[in-house]
Amino acid sequence: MDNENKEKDKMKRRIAGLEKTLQIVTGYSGRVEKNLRQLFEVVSDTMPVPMLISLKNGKILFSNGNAQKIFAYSEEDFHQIAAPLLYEDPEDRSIFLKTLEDKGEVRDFAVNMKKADGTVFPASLFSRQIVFEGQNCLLTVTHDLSELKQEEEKRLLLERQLRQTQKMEAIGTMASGIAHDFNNILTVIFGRLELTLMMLPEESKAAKNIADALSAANRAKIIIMQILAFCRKKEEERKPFRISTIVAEAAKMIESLTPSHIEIRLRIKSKASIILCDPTQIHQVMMNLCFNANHALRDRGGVIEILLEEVTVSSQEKIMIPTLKPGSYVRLTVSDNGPGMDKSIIDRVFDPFFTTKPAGEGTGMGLAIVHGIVQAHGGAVSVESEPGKGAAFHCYFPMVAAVETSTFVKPQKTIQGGSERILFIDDKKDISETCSQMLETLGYNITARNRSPEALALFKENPDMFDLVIADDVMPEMSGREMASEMLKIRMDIPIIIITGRETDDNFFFESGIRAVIRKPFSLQEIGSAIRDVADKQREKEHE
Amino acid sequence: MTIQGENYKVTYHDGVISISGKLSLMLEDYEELETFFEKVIESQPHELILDIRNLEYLNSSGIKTICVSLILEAADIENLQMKILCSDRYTWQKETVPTFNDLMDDIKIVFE
Repeated sequence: MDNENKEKDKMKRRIAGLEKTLQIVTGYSGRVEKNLRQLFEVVSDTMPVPMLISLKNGKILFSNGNAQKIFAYSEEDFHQIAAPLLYEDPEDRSIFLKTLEDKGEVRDFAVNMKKADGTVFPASLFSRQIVFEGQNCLLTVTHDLSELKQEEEKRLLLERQLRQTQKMEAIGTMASGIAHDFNNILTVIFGRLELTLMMLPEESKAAKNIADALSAANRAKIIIMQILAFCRKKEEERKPFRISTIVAEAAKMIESLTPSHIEIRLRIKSKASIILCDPTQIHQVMMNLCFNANHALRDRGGVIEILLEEVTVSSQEKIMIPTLKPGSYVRLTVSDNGPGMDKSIIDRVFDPFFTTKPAGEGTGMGLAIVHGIVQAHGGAVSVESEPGKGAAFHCYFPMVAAVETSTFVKPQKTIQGGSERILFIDDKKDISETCSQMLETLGYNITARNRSPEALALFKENPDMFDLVIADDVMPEMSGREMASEMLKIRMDIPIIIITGRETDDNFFFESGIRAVIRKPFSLQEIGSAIRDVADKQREKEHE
Repeated sequence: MTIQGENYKVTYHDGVISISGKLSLMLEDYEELETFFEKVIESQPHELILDIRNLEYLNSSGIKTICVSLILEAADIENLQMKILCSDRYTWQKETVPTFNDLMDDIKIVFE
């Protein structure tokens, strides 16, 4: 009986011990559960990505703060909506569930998600199956890829721009090589046509044909210039330049290309104004504006006025041209008395590819390029026009320094000749022959050579035999620059003019004592004027 | 005697059971530890020390195993002195081990 009681007591103690154990374990589990829940809440609320816990049927049981922020649904809203609504295409949810079922988890599921306001954003989903509040659920983390996509698009855009720049550089190199050859060919065409034109009676049919051919050659020249200007390297070097000199030179060239029923008037009121610029770009601005004015007047004739003046832009004027800061500017105005433009055209006139010219006659890039160049120089362009009242384009360039002067320059149309003795060197026989004939018509005494060493030897033999030297720059045995340098060592006052079909920095020539540089192809007027300028200055020096 | 698990180690030597590491097995996987404790009890020690100072974590099934298979069994042995060495570095030990007094009146619990 004692043993039986002992066993009973032991059993009672054991039962009591198990009850206590149960209390200890449940107490412990309760604390662990509480801690885990707290941990989950802290993690889900501080994680920087949206997290949702949903049932397979789409019911959303939990959303963290970031999910509420990104999707713009409140916690209560999430309980009301079904998960497929968060997808741009709700069908994607089915594909997502299928992937989860097949693989046990989803990683990097690319899909477009939808916010409460309907905004769609690219996302990547990561999901696993979990048990939450006693139910089989999916815990899904959504990575918003909007910024990543934008960064990727930016990177692709930069890559495209880089490729485009490289392509343009390659085209530029190629174009400059082709242009050199074309300019040589055009030099002969121009020369021969002008010589022929001089031989023909002015009103003859043949003279008209030749004039048309010259006009076509002019167009070819402009096209080559435009190609070279467009393909030029982007990193232009801006240096202080007297803008009046650039404008006057450009006007001279434009004058030579302008039909006689259109008059060019050049008025420079600020001869000494200095701006920081790339002269070739200012040249292009002039060319593009005058080309448009020419086009506007080509049927009826008229006047193109080029005006260069200093202006002060006040805050009042700034309102008219919002991009312009108050300050001192040089204003280049190209105006014509053509048919003018209505407001609808004015509004679009600087848009790339916008043109009013017939198909095949304009690219619509001219004014867009002008706009880009002037803006890149820190200035602005404005246009004034009314139907029937002509048009005026004002280009404002920030001024660096100025000395106020006022002068009128009238480009010369008559070609002045002379009697100077000229040594002409070009390795292309057809060019030397053509140019010799052209210059002889102006009265000059020409000795032509096709090899630079031969010309140098002739010069060495009798340096005083010539008053002026004209030499091509690119020649096989000795370049024009090298030959000029040798000649200047023998006779340092000999005036030398370089002719070239390449785009070069003229300063290199001037620094080595060369007096002028002329671009091929040139007209009789261009080379005639250059010779006179150089020869007259030389004469002035000799008289001093 | 020794049990070497993936994240834990249990040894018995000279009346001292030492458990270290992290012990979070499923209930059914505690059978090996139950058998281990059974052998300890069968050896009829006069004094038993449970050293859990280096036991970082023990789950609820582990608590149950220690309570039922070790402490309650030890409580049935007359004149057996039992001592638990604990560490107050671990919150779970501070919160739970003192309740083991309810299972064995004269158990000695020492925190370091």
